[in-house]
Amino acid sequence: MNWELFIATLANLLGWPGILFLISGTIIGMIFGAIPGLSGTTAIVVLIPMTFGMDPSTAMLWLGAAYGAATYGGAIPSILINTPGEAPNAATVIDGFPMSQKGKAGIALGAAATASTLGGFIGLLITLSLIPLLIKFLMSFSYQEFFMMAFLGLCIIAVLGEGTLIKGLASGGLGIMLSFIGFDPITSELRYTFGIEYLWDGIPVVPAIFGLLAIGEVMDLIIEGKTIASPRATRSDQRQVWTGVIETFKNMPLVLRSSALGTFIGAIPGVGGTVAGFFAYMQAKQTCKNNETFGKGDVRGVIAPEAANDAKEGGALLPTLAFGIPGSSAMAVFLGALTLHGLDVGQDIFITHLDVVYMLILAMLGCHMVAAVIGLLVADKVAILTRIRPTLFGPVIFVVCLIGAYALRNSMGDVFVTVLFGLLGYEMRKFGFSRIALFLGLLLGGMAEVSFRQTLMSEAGTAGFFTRPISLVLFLTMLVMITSPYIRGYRKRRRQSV
Amino acid sequence: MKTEEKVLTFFLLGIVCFMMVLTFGYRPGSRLVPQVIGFCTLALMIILCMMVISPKFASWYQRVEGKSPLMGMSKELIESGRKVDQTGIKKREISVAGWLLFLTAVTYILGFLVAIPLFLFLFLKLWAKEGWGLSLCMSGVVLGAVFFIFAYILQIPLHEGIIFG
Repeated sequence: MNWELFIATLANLLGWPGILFLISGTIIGMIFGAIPGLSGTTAIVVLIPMTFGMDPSTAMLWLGAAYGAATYGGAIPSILINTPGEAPNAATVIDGFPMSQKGKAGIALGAAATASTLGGFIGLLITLSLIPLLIKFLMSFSYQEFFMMAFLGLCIIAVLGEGTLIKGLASGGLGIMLSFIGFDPITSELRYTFGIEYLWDGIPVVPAIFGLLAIGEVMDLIIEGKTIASPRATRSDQRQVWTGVIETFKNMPLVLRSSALGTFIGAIPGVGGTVAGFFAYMQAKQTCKNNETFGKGDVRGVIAPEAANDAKEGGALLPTLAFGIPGSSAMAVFLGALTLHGLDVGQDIFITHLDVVYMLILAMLGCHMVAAVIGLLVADKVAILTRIRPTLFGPVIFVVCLIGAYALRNSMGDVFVTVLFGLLGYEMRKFGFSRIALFLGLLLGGMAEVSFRQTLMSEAGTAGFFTRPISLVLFLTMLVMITSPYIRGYRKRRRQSV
Repeated sequence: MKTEEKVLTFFLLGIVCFMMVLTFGYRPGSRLVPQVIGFCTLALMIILCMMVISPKFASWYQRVEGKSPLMGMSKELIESGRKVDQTGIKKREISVAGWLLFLTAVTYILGFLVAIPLFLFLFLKLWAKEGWGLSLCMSGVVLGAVFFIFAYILQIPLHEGIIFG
């Protein structure tokens, strides 16, 4: 741990204008989280174009604060109007809304704010403590390991993410194929450019992610015309809020268990926060005494998913920053933002730009505190945001995405890429193709190709993949990942036949 | 729904096939990795196409794979909060995609400063059926915010369109 750098980064965060970006990022994140249908991912997409010209550290501070606060923002409508602001808050609804109906909305909001803050802290502290180990591990990586890591990441997302394994792998393969567009990195031969000069540098990653995740998501939101179950939010009593805070501290073992679970699930690429929330809820129901009140307005049913939801952010940062494998769609957008600011994940960011990593972690820690203060003071007023119709903010996000894509390089070509990937992303989501796998393929395809060809040119040749221990372990893990669903299917069939 | 899935799967298969064919025109060094990846992706896409054509094959494959997505959690449970009105969804899909293409085309032809208020006003008035006041107000506010942030603060020269540019 580089304490000197850590303290200098902390001083930057707490100085001017760091604190301004922290507070504004938190407020923006909370607003995006509180509006059903919008999420931390959308918040980052909207903010990315505004970070042009900022230094990477400040940009990550702003984006990190917005993303970190969105999950807590999403808990507010879950409790007050029975509609999760973000998908990961779906588990909070189960006990949060019944508490509101019983007139205990304040307790639920206080508990959610405190559990989110504690969960976020625990998740990020675990991440922070693992950084020195990760740096040592990354230092032993060579071409072979980078190649294997890229493919292992795709396999993990295909196996654990949305849709069938085969759809996940096919999406990843297509992403890698698309990454070959442009100059060959070794021979400089042009591939798949059809004489179009715009394609010489390949498909730009950031417009592609804007389209795949933001445009596709907003299209879905407008088309589905999601309705809010009860537009009239339950009022909360400010005195109850403090009871919720105390209740959370009384249930500290539950907070710790849920946070550890959330961090672990967050670190598994492709699984996402929704699973973390539901898993934490289920473990709370199974491990707590007097569990018959769960589902009927038990505060522990709010504490567990909220702690896990926020703890997962810390876990998700690890594979994203260390190996370029995003744990969630928001992390995929983060990867795009890092690329945009000229930062490479892995060795580069952990060795050359460690201050950016510290800033990101500190921003996410700080935003939980700011969000908790705002949440405890004005949570019930935030519920008013849920009355905004998707048809009002949807077109605005279209506009911001397009102008953001254009502003990257002042190119209309980037706008067309965003729209094309937006339409593709919408269709892929509808039919269970993995958009994150496609993006990951597009992002890591170039690196995988260079690593593969450099390995071939090295003395060891292809044998190099299997003679280096880490590379071999990664290869075997990949094999296990791919075959495990089929083995599970075989066992299931055998059990059924018996 | 099924036809649309077929169209998407065959479209993706078409892309991969086309890219595979093109690789044969490149130098050996440049085509090695695209061919290896292309071949694997092609095989996967063919299986997917067989799945959308033959429901029998699809159900057989699903039994073979036995994947439990989202760590074994029920998708229905996770998506229990989603309330989707399925009536007329196809029409809405085409319409929203059309609006997005309209925004892109108008931006290309007339530039951002004309396209943004025009798109927002028409979308809010015609599609979202909002009132005149709100539609005009939203268009003006968003245009002002875009101009202030991108053109004034970030000094980004916004696209002026092929007519005015």
